[in-house]
Amino acid sequence: MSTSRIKTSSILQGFPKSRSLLAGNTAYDPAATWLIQRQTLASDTAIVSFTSIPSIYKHLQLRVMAKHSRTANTFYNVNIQFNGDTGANYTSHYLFGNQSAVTASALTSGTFIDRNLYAISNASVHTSMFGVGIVDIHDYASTTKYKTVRSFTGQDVNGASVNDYISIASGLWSSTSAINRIDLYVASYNLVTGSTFALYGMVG
Amino acid sequence: MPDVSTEVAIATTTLGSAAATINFTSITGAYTDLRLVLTTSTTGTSDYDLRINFNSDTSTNYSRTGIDAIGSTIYNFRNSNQTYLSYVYILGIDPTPALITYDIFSYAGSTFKTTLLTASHDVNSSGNNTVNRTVGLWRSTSAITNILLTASGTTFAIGTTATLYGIL
Repeated sequence: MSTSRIKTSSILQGFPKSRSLLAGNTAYDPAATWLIQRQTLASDTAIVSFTSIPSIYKHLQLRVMAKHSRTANTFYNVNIQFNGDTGANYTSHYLFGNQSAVTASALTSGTFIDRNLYAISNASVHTSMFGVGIVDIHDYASTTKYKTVRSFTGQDVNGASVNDYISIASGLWSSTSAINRIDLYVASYNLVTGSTFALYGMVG
Repeated sequence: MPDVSTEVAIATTTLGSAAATINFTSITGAYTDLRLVLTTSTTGTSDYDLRINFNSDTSTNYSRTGIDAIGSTIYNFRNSNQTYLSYVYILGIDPTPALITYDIFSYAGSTFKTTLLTASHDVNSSGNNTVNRTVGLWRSTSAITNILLTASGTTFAIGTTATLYGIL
């Protein structure tokens, strides 16, 4: 029962009482995940930034569809930096598979999270295609712990090039600062129109 | 926090009887991405494959690239011009379920549709234990309104659940 009008007699007789504020109303179903911001590029862009990220969530998740501006038939990393930190404070580790092999490697003392996200090239054989990825950033607002990232990324181009791949990866930012900014970029090239970057906050 | 849920359950199915297929139809275009969460097992006695088709398209518009570990062996694979997206040995064997997540990016957009699958199929010694990560492509610019899941060569067992989420 939702209250829309109160009769005088009800006031005199007293209201039905409940121990719950939700009694009589539609159940509220709190979501575990909230959209913070989505950016769909309307023009080619060097750096995609999420700024002033609030610390009210437990974890963050990026969902990405990305293409870079080089027309040669290759793919590139989408580098990830936090809080504008360009120091050698990042570590990355990946398991990568394509049509010919499965490989793994670790990268230490990097200046960005590496090999956790990729962008497909703007070659004509990639028309209507994008690289995709999901990146989880755990406990991003902690001021006592370093920040761990995990990702799942891939692209399939129907064998039109050597750029079919799948990757699972992790990353570390060795900082106890709460993450309030994320920068995403491809070295030397732009992210092109239509690429989409969505940042979600996840309730713990 | 905003007052709108980002991830919304669009439809869910729990099988009350064995079925060869699970079909999500009339999918609204109101979301950005889709996520399918499956807890599946099959009535077969071996390992079986999951096949996925969109919008009843059975032409050679599908391709996939992936890695998996089946038992103690690691594989990489790429298959082009397929008539469905196929995922090998991931469906579970009754009563042991497998867990599958399936993300479909920009499913209502005007570009080709790229998907990411994770599968965990641990059946102890009943079959091949499998972990799988695969990217799939459907070369169509049509909005996805229908997802057909097929248990290839077997049937989904009673209790199999499939939930389709829309992500804003």
